[in-house]
Formats: sequence, structure tokens, C-alpha cells
Amino acid sequence: MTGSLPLAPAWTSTHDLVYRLGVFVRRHTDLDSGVVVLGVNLSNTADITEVYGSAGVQRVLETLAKRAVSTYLPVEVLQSSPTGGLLLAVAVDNQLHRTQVSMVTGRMRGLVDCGGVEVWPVLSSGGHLCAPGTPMETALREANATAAQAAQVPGTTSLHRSGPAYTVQQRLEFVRELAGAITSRPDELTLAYQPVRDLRSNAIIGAEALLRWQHPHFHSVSPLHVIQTAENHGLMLGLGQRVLENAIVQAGIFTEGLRHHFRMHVNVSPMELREPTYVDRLQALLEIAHLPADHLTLEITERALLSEDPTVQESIRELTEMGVGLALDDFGTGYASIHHLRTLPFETVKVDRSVIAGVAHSGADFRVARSVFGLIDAIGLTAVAEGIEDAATAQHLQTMGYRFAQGYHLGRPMEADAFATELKRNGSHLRSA
Amino acid sequence: MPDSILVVGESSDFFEATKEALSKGRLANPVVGVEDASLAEHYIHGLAPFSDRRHHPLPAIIVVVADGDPTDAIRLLRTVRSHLVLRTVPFVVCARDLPEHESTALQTNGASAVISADIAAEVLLDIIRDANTPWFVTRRGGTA
Repeated sequence: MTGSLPLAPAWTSTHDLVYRLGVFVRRHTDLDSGVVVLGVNLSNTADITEVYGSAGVQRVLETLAKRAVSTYLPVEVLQSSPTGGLLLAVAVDNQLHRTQVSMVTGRMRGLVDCGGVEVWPVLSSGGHLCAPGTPMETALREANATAAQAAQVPGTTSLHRSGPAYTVQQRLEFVRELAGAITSRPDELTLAYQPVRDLRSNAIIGAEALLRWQHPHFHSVSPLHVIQTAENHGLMLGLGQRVLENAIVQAGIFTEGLRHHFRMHVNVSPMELREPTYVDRLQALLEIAHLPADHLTLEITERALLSEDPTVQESIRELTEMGVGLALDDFGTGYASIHHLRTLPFETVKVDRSVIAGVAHSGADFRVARSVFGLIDAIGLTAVAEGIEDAATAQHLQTMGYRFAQGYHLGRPMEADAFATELKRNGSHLRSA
Repeated sequence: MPDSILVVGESSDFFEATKEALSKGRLANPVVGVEDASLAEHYIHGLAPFSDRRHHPLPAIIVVVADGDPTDAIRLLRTVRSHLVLRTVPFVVCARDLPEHESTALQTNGASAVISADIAAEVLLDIIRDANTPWFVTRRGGTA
């Protein structure tokens, strides 16, 4: 049956929240049943507030709460937030909890009457299935954390059964350590360089700079986790600046005495492009390192290139005018259209490993990868295949026209000294060491 | 008679699959199959039983199946690459279980492409298209 009140008081104390959740969990938990603590964020709260005021948001939340408790499942509205959120407790069958939570969130979606005018609430939901014996405080904390993650992708629902890899305390510690590494312990953050090769000649024509963080406690941290943490905690600008500095200085060293053109590839976050001083700082770094702009390629995801943010667009325009190369990263995983390929200001397309992985084993994969190359080539861009892990894949890609590629088969990421040695061994220099 | 497509290898299944794939792509060149590299060399040099060029035209493309041991394929490749007329003809090797150094040797000796025999029939037409080989078309539609 439904909960006691459609909408709980907004300023519920933590003690009261824990108590009410505890009562609900004891009532609805047994061997086969459990409780999902579900945080629902109203992603377009700011827009609704601007037009209809806080009363409009309140009206929306009340409607959502009524819808949530109108399903056949026991649902308790634990808390509402004037900033646009609801915290629910949903009694579920352990085997069917995903389907049942989807049903509840699905019931909540729909146009809402906001005082005579309808609005579409954009909802993001994150939930945590309470394991037996889970302290209520932990369940609430994990649900809020999952909801916060889900809020980054409006309109979706994320559900976790077990706890995330890090507790909140561990996350705080991780962020603190990362901030320390960026600001005062730069030796912990290093770059590894993965060669980009010409498949015809095996010559190294570039390198992608890849972040590495070796921490005494966390040990070797996944670069993806580092980037995500930096982006979520206001550390991306500092981290990006450090990566750019090191990569540009190293590029100057690599290219000294080099016979042919060499490009250093550096990944750029959309957050960095949004910073008004980014281009000026990059230009200053190039001048200090005496590195021509066309020796640098910034790898940008589709999300950034498709951004309508005027600052991002201005940054991209200035970079192009400066002569810095731009590459569309991870092509094949996002939503770049043919129109985007033709109109956006990049010269290189990095074709994701998911596009090329099966070319030596599947005729369909071969034809798809070939078509992708044909499209990129027809538009006049340069294709670089990523994730080459064996000779057969390299050969098949070369057969269909790919000329440039990177991947473990062509060279693993390595430290600067090892890369410099590999460059010399590759026969790229005028004189041997 | 138009130039042929010479398929070298003892697998009749592979030959039939290749012939069908090329036919579906409306490539009207006659597809000729020989069992091994020795017979292929006889064909290239116009030796018996392939001495009549009216019925056994020089190939426009050579496709070789190399299972495991590419020795014969490399020998044939060298023959082709030293032939005055055929030295630039596309030479496609369809291989199974070929070590990397053997594939590299084939490419070093001038193979146009080394592809997996498992997908060769499906993608051979695409490879031929990419080889910049002049096309041959018939006045009437349908398969050759």
C-alpha cells in the first residue's frame, strides 16, 4: 500500500530520516524482499524556478510524490528538497528490484500541471538496494551518492545493489590526495607516451600523452577514475594544465633532431575549453617550449565539440587559427553525425577500438570499419585507428586503407626516456644517440 | 575473353564461395581455380594445360589460400612480381593461422593484402575495389 503522507516535510532531520527508513525497512524486509532507497533529482529545477518560482517546483514535487505512491508497491516519501529532489523508500522483490524501480520512476515521468501550464520534469534517479544489516545511515549515504552520479546524465536511472568501490570517507581522502598531487606533489603525476605509427613504414609519427598517478596508498590509479574525480570536484583545470605543460615540454624534447613531422596528442576536457584563459596559456606554453603549434594535437570528445557553450566554441576557433591540430576522439562511441564530421573544425578522427576490434574475424566488422574509413577519407580528414592489439588487425586495417594507428601491438605506453629511445631506434633521427 | 581472377588453393569450398561472392558483386571476370602454386605457375607462364590464352587469359587478380605454411605462396608471389606483365597485379593472400613474421614476409615480398581466410569470401570484393583494379562490366545485368 502507499506511504503515510504524499510529501514528507522538506527539512526532515537526519535522525528522523533514519528512524522512518528503519521502520519501513523492518516492515518490508524478509528473505525475498528488500528496500531500495531512491533519490530522484529534478534536473530542470532552475528553469522551472525561473518561470514559475519555488511554488512551481513544489507543485511538481507534490505531483511526482503522488505518482510514486500510486503504484502497487509500498513506497514511502522520506524527504523532499526545495532544490528539486525527492528521497523515497521502495519495498521490492529482491529478484525484481530493477524492474520494479523502473516502474516507479516510469510512473513518475509525465507532464505536470504547474498552475495551468504543463511542464516536463527531467528526472534522474539513483538508488541503493539495502543489504540485510546495512546501517540506515550508510543506505542513505550510498543512495544520495548514486543519485548524484545519476544526475550527471539527466533522464536516467542508476541502481546499485552493493556498495560502490569507495565509501564516502574514501572518496574524500581520494579527492584530497589528488588535489595535493596536483598542487604540491607533482612528481606523483606523470605521463606515459603511446606511439602513433604509420602502418606502411612503421615510423612513429606521434605520441599520445596518457596520465599516470602512482600513489603510495592507492597505488596505480585508473586514469579514467582520476579524470572523472577531477571533473566532479573542481580539479580538472589544475590537472589539465599540468598534463599540458609536461606534454608540450616533452614534445619539444622528442622533436629535437627529428627527420619527419611529429605530433603530440593531448586529451582535453570540455571543462578546460570553457576556461577563457585556456588558449592564452597554451600559447604561452608553446612559446616557452619553442614548439610550433602544428606539433600539437588536442584530442577532444564529441561531447565537447558539440557543445553550444560560446566560450568552448571560441576556444576551438582560436586553437584552429593558431594552427593547433584538433582530433575527434573515440569516434564510433557517441553521436557525431555526418554533418558534424563535415562542419566541425578538426582534421583527425580517432576511430575507437570498438569499431576495429573484429576486422580480422568478421566480414561484417571488416565492412563497417572500411565504411568508416571511407566516410572519413571522403570528407578529407585523417583517420587514426585506436586499440590495435595484434598483427592481423593491423594488416586488415592497412588493407582497407587505414594508414595511421596506435595500440598495444604497435607500442605500449612508456615513460619519456623509453619513448625517446624508441624514436631513435625507429630511425627517425638525423643522428643516433 | 576478359582477364581472369586466378584462385589458388585446394579447397573447393573456398573456390565456390569466392566465385559466388564475386558474382554477387557483378564482377564478370571469369574465376579460374587451380589446386596449388605449381599449377598456378603453369597458368601464369602459359604452360600445358593452360597454353591456350584464348581460354586461359592472364589474371587481373590472384587470390591465394595459404594454410599455415606460406612457402608456396611466397614462391608464387616472387614469380608474379618478376613477371613483366603481372608484376603489378593485385596479389591477395587468404591465410589461416599464419604467424606474424610469415605475414610480414608476404607483405615484404609484395602481397597486396593478407587477410583471414575465414572472412575472405565476404570481403574480397571490397579488397579488389580498393586495389584500383580496372572494372569489367557486361552489357546485360545478372550474374556472370
